[in-house]
Amino acid sequence: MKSYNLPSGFDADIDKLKGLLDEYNRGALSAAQLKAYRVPFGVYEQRERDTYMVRVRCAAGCISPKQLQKIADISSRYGANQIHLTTRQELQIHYVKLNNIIEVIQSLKEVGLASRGGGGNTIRNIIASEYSGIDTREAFDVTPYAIALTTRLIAEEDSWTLPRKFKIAFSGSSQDLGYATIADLGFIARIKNSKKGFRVYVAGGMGVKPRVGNFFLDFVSETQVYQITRSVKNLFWKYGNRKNKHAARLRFLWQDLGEDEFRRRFIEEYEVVKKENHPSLKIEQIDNTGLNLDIKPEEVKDKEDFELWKKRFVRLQKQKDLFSVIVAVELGFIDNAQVLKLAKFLEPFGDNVIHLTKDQNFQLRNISGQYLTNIYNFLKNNLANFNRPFIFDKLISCAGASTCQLGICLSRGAVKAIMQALEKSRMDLALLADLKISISGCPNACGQHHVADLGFFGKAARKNEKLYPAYNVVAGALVSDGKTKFADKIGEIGAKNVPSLVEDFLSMYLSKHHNYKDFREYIENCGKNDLKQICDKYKDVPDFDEDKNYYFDWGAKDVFSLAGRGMGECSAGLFDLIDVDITNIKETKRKLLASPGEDKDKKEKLLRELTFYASRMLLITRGVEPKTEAQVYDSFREHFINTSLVEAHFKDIIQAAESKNSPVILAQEKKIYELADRVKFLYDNMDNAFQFKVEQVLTPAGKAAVEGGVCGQLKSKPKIFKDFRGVACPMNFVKTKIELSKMKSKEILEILLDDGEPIENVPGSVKEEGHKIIEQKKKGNFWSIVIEKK
Amino acid sequence: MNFSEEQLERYSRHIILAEVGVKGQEKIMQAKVLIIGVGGLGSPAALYLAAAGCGTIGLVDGDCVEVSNLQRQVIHFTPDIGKPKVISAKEKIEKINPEVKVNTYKERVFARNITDIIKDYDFIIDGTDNFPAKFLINDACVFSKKPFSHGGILKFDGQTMTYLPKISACYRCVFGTLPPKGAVPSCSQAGILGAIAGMLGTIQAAEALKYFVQKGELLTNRLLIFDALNMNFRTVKVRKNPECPVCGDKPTITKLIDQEQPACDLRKK
Repeated sequence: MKSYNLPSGFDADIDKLKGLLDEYNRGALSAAQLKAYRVPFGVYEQRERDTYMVRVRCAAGCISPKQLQKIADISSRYGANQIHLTTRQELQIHYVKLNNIIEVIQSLKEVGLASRGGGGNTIRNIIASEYSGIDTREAFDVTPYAIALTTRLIAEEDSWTLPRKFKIAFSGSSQDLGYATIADLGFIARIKNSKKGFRVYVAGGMGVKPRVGNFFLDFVSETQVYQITRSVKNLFWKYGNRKNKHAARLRFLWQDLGEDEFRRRFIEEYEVVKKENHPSLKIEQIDNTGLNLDIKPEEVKDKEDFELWKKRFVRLQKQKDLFSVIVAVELGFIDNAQVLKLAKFLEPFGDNVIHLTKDQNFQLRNISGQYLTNIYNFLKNNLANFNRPFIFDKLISCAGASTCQLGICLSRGAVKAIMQALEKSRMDLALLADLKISISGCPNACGQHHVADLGFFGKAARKNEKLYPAYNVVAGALVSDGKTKFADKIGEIGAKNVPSLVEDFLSMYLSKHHNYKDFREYIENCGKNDLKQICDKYKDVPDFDEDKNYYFDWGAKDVFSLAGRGMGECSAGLFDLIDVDITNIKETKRKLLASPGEDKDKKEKLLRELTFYASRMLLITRGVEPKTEAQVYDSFREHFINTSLVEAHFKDIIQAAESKNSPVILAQEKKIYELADRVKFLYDNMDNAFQFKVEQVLTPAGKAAVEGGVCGQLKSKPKIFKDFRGVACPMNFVKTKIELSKMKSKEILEILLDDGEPIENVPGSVKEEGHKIIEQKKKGNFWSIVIEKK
Repeated sequence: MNFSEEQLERYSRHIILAEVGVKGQEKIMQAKVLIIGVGGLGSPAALYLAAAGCGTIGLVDGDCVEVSNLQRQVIHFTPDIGKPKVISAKEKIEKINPEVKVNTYKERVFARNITDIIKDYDFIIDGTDNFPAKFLINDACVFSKKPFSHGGILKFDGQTMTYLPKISACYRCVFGTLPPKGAVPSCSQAGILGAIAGMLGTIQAAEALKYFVQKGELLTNRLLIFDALNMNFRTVKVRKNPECPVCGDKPTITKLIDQEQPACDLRKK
């Protein structure tokens, strides 16, 4: 079988990397400079310093036994004792030393493989349904397209300098087994008027802000695959957001431009690409017929076990008397020695015998029926868990907080706990063979929970000021041409309860399964409800003193904490904590409105709670995890009042709440509401880096003041208005200068300033620069200054 | 130009200054400055210019960091020993201010390369340690009409002046030609108080920033001399020399040449 071709300039690329590594070793190149080239080469630094992971591109998941042997060989020589299968049909070699990187890349090259594009803002591995070429339902085999497109794209320089990663996927049928409907660019094979072609989806993807791909083109001829890809790639290259990597994927461009503009620009690019007269892809059909082997079919000892294994892992191909076989690999990790043996064993079966699956297993194909016994015997002799229910090895987990900087929960620990629970259970797991259970340690979705039947993603929750590991529970995803939808959030539970929930829910399904065609039908009808109830059952966690176990994550030695976590995209986990208080505030307000005044004690208590929630809500954004009520108020004063993010006059109510001064609390009811509004206002104007963009917008109070015509007789004069309340010295003056610099002479600027230092300093400084202060007025606790530019 | 929030904060103390303000900071951020010699003088100059937000900083130096440099060349740290000075400095600049674009030239200036190196820059800082280089920089800047700041230090003394094309006296107007070999002791013989390098290098940086914002009086037609042992500062008036061999009415030097004189022994050690 022909794999992708390495580009002619590949040696020069390796030489360049080698040169850079030499420079780095000599100290002539900084780590950051090296990284900029290293990562797009598919070489990532691991959490453990000075060890690296090399991600090997395997287009459409194809890998020959020779290539696989080489990888096992490289891994044992330069890497760890296991290799890793990824959810994007790649292989990873871990724990490589920097000094060995070039040897690893050279060795990969010897068997026609490359790691280039394994990471960074590049064309990533192009995936395809693992059943391409052998699936009875497919329109035609898409594997050759994935391979040919890989060959073409990895030879193009601009494939390495995109605004963000770019994922392409192929599916052979509307079942979308290749996940084309959730890729940046997805192709689904179709036949129209007896011509081969594809339906095209764009701008999909998972992550914290997932989006199902948009239906883009109904039918493009197979000869246009490259032109379409080139046009979308050009569009992305030109207009993608290079500044903010969290909003850079193609789906954000689609959102920013809107569908019409996206399409218009696509056509613009397409017209240019058409004129460039690129040749169509060179499609080389792949032979899935199997070979005549000079091997003797073997006998099996345990016939029953063999039949069970067949039922679990063997599928008939569309080719007569040929079978595909899944070799299960727990969580995608397998020993080098086992890989080596497997690859050697498979060599006689030809080049097109191993594919990598998206659920991190091997698929063998084109196995003639008479040799299934040989495969069985080999696996039995060499792999420990080769014949357990498939549900175990369909489980997907991300790396989790043990090795991932962004992780919140220890997802692998949770998966192991789920496995143990399943092993112990008496459920008929055979009925659950197709069930996809996925778990991500944080909202980033590396565990692909968005497309799971039953999925989890980690979060931090809080009970009585103590944090504990928890998971959001999602279910009911569907991936299919035109119907793809992500899993819905059903509930939230403590991490400790995940295995019990899985067990309960699967038992529930099994008790009802005969009423439904499949799990999908069940989940769409009463499954979600059942799951919701089970979530509710496990929603509450005991107090820390009652059962400490809930405050330790799976496999963790220390009490759960967010300390040491990086501030990546996973900061989304913190938003959950903020949401808790937003809900608390809403609830408390509702209760206050519902109980008008009679019960003073109750009212006082609610107002105090409201003050407490408002004070606590945003502390997490300042990296504070207060343990006591006193700490909440102290931290709020320190981080919000003293920094002028919240007006100083709120100090009184904070103090009243802290000292439980009922008369003051009851008298200041209105102010307490204002405090809650102010905090919410800050939150609404917070960016992803937790900075409050309040200087650039009117505060609610300021807005009201302007609308109410505070500016009196000057109202009619054209002017610019800026609210610099909450902006400390000297930034308020800096911002005033910036505004003035944009204006023309004699134009009018009105600014609002806080009382105290700001009003004592800013007007004087403005005058010193030669501008005229036309008016200076106190408005309650702040000031309005009207300036005429010199 | 629109400043980001971060930039506003970062440069707030510049923007507040009436003489710098928004426009001045913009000019600084568009400026391209070249520092020749990333040693005693170039180190502090580079640090302050980077912190100030100079748009582009070019660094020229052929040497690697040695342990004896660390006493005064403050941009280089102990773990940098053996590393090219331009790389060591670039790393620090990027840490101080990631907005600065840094170009490195790991080479010494010669008649053959200097014109090409300085051509893209608005202002040049002479941070070299030897007379041939100082005269070469002067002549190249006169020919290419580039303003530059001259600086020299020894023991406890420092001197500096700023050259503006056509307007002010050049280095040759004042000093004519190379001193005879042996007339001036080298750094390794005479020594240098590290802080003197900092004093002079920061004056050079200040001159560059003043030049960019076009405010105040530059050290043109004036030579600033200080003796830090007694802490005496004075400026000496100098004049454009009509008979200057390079910028005078009838120049005798019309192309760049590399003159021979042993460089500071310290570097060769």
